[in-house]
Amino acid sequence: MDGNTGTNKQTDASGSGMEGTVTVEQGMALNSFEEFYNAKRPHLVRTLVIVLGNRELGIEAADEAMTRAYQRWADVQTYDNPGGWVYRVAMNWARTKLRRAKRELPSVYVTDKSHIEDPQFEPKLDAALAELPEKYRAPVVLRYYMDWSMEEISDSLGIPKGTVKSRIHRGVAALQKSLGEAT
Amino acid sequence: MNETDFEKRLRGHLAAKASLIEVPDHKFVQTKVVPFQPRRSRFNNLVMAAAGVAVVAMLGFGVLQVTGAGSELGIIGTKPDRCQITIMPGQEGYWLTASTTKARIGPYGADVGQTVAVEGGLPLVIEVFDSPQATDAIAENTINTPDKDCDYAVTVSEGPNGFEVDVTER
Repeated sequence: MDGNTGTNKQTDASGSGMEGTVTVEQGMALNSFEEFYNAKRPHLVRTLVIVLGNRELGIEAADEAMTRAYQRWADVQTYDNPGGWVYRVAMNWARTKLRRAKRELPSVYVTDKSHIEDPQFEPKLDAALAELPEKYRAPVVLRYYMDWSMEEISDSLGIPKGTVKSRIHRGVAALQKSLGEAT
Repeated sequence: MNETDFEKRLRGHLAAKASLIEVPDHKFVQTKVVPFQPRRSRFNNLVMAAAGVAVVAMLGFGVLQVTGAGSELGIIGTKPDRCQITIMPGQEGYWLTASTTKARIGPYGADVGQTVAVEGGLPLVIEVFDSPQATDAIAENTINTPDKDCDYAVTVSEGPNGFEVDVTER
């Protein structure tokens, strides 16, 4: 899927309003984008880094997607879940990038974690997460880190809600099994 | 929906993991790349570019809208940690975004100090002056990044192979 069209509401965003004088509506839209950018970007970056497993790729994907959101903001801001659209665009961009690069990127999951003192961070769980295929890891992260609803995840991943539920269930079960905690 | 203890642990782990991921403070600055003002003087263009920079400075975030029919705008995202900009064609001009990957250097990318000829056959929206004013069709904008280490000057001009985009570090 083209990263520019990763939404069911995508319309041609020709950037109307980029010429001529600034109208009140345009100014409000731009302010709205600034708020969106500042509010969503940190979580978007962290989600992408965790799902993709690479910091640089996650950051770059987030910025690429945000740029495209800005270009199409007049439309994107009307979506039910603009963050979901941006996530989807970022993931499509990253997949294309990886496909073209034809190489494995260094993973954030294999770094030394001995210095991490946060008791909630579980090294074994992190290792299990690294082994989880992306199709399960993505919905798990979106559900348990971003706290998105099934509908939002379904929209952002472009898969049916039932599939989202199934993948989250199987993803969590796989993580438990990896830790020897299968029910 | 009630969550199991494992799901709660998973939430806690992901939150802890996310907190370890440092998010660089990137800023988007929308600015003017090339003014499309046929048969105007270079002086007028520079005045418009200067006005654009002033608006950016005033608004802080990059919500610049340059007035004038036919104005072409670009977006520049600066990454103060890398001093690198990527240039790509957009629907309203050339969209200049930051890049952290050296592999992106190519027809549409430019390292600081590198001159790139933008190839033809692309949806060229940037317009330049008709000859003999072509050489006057130059706009220059300086993008100041927060840490002052990477101040960019972006110059777009018409060259023998198309439009040339210079990204230089000040």
